Amino acid sequence: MDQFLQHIVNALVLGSTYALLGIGLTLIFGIMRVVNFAHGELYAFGAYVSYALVSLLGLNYFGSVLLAGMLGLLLGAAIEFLLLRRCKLENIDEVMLIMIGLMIIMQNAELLLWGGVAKVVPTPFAQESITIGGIYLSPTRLFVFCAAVVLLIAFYLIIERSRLGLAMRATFQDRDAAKIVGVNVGSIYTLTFALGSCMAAVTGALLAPVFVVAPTMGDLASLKAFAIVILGGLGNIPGAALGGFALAAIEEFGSGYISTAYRDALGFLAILIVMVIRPQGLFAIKERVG
Amino acid sequence: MSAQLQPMAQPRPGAPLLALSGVTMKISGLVALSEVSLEVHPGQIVSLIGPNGAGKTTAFNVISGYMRPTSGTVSFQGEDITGLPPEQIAARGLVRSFQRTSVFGNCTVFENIQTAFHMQGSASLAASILRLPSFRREEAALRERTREMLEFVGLTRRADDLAANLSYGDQRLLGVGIALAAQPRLLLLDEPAAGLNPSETDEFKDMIRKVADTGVTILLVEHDMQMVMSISDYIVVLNQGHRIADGGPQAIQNNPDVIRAYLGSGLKSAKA
Amino acid sequence: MNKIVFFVVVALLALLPVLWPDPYMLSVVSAAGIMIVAAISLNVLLGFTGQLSLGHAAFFGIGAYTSALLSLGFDVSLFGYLLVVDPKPVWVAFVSGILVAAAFGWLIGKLAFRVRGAYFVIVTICFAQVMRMVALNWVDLTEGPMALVSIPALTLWIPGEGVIKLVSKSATYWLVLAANVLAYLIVARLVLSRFGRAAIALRENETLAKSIGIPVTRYLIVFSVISAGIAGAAGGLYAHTVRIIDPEVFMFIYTITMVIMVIAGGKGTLAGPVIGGIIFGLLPELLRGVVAPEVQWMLYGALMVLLLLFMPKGIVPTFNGLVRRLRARLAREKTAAAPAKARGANA
Repeated sequence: MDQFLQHIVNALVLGSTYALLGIGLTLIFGIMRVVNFAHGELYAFGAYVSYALVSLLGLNYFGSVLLAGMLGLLLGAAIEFLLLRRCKLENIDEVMLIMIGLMIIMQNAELLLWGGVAKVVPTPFAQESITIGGIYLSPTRLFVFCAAVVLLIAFYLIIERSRLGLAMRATFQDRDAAKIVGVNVGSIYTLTFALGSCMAAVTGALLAPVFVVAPTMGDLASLKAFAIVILGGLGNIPGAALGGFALAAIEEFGSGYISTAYRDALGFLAILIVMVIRPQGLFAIKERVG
Repeated sequence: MSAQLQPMAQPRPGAPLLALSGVTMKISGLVALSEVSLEVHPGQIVSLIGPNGAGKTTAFNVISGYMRPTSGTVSFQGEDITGLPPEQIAARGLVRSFQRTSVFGNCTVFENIQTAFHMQGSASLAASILRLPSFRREEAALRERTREMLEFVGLTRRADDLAANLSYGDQRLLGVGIALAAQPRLLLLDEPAAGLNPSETDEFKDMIRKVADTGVTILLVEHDMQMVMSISDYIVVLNQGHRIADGGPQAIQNNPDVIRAYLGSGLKSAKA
Repeated sequence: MNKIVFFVVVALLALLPVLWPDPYMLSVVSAAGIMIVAAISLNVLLGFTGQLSLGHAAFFGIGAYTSALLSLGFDVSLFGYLLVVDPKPVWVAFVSGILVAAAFGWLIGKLAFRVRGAYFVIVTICFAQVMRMVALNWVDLTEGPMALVSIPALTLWIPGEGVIKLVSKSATYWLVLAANVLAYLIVARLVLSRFGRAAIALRENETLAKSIGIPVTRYLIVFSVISAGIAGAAGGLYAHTVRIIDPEVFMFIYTITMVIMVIAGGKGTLAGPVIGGIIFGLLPELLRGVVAPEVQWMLYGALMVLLLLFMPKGIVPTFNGLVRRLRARLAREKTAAAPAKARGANA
């Protein structure tokens, strides 16, 4: 039973960060119809920013997360402004391939800059785990969970309560209609991509002391983000949040009760099964086929 | 006035080629077709008309298998085809054209027609890859038939042009050629004259007559009333998903329900 | 005309080991040649049916592993039973590799019937990832990261000489060339047939294709099976010429290499994957030593982005377009030069 509760706690912590990662990706897809293969690289970017600031410059971890978020925002805006704006976003496959090209460039730039050896970012918290009723939780993970939940709520408020969120939702529903009622679709795209990238970078920076920082982390992060988004239904924002927790639960319980070695494979297997049974995603209300 | 109480205006002898009985189609709660029944008899040119939103295109989609009706049946040559996929309905000889121009844009005109002869070929995968004599014979025969079809629709000179580069009118003709290559017994034409200039429309009308003369039965959705009235043997009028009238062109033009329906929707050319 | 060009090119390529018997060069060209077969296979799906598969390395890897394992023999316990497979003749193993890859192609083709577009792409990626994890973790069968080694070479029976092993650099080169010619011819004949027309109809306008009685899903599956089978053959070729394989063959980056080759050369053209494959197969060798591998990959990525932005159709169609325009201009100049009088009369 303790074992079971431990898995639940682990899944919640992991799931909160997966949700952040997935929401950024699904937001970009939902609004721009861009399948962003570089999403994982922005996650890696955030982690490296955190590493550079904390380990090399001796900055405080919390500050590094904040800065990583801001740099992610800028980088995302730059990518949208310099690259995506040049293609007409009509052929979804072509844009997808362009993003793969960007992914290759970013990943190898990281490799060139930081080398292939994984980096460790020291945690500002105590190393000993907190024990509550036989369940272990490290203070770092607890912080990550709290921060992720706060960010999820902040994101929810931006989308549901702000004027920007309204414009985004309008573009999401119908791009042409949004244009007619005076939404500047171009700047919505830039903001969307920047916001999505910012969330990926923050997630990477948040998780830097939990995992190690390595150039290949972006690959897996991208694929997991896709898994999350597919589980929730492409372009479905609440679905992505649920999908994040679902993937974390699949991985956590799968590796606990089935096989640790196949931990990462289970998520992909889940996608294949979901695609066969419910192509519109587990939590989709409306069918959206890209 | 409910459709099912109306008797068929002109009962005809012989079995109908196409029969819809009590077809209802609801699309996300809205009733696009309500208990529509109609018959198309062999050798006729039948038009389906009605103001915008009357359910004409929905009817076409239901007949040709692109939508599955909520209730009711569609039968073709006495066989129930309700819910069959489009390609199987086409294989039975019921072929449709589309409202917007619909061609294989990056292929040449010749290739478009050749592709459309798909059902006339039967070469196996092995025969195709090994280039067996049976494959060569079949390809030669298909090329010959493609040339004949290009001749029929008058596009021989444009055979090597990309379909996407054709004028609007020529693309329409190509669309008819593609549909005819599938060897229809009943051809469904969805607003073939939309967007054509008057002289192109006249040419198209001649084309429809020419097709009908080869023994193909035609069901037409069209807004151009002049065209409808001049070529139809029989007309069925839909309004808001209901069949409100049917009969010959003369009877339809004088039918008060039809006039009211068109006036109500503000369409001017009802009595053209 | 086209046939003559084809034969001349093939004959010249076949003479390469005689004219320039440099073993290093031959092995580089052979390695590129295997990737070209893979690119040809990807083009079958991407170019002609229009379905982007980003898990194509999976078919390559399945072909490689199946062929290697069958030729080496293996024993593995499955649900408590011990399954022992004795080493099979190398060509039997090779053909089995093609068939197993084709069977997975059938499965993916079936799936494409349910999901399209972005979903299909992600499904294919997941499929390749699952395959990679299996190759990594099912150590009893695949040796995992330790790799399968000492894979036997393919053999050839030559009258008078008996059965020889194709291990020399020239033999490998000719083998790869033969595979390329065969793959090219199969795809060319497939495309220029009723099957190819049906697939292209699906790519161009699925709704219209259905309306003229083309059962599109059936053709999607046929093309998926053929595409996977050829990729499996490329994998088998890789296994029996490089003679060592590890789970890296399933890596995303190999799929991307195939995609770049096809897109650069021109998807949906017969020569496209070959031209793109030659460029992107040999480019790493030309850049080796000049720049760091990371920079080389960055150039790859940048080239991919630039190509998609400025030449999305690829080299072959762009070149064909230029030739067509040039011809038209020449023809116009000819007519303009000769009947100047006639023109005057018209005006």
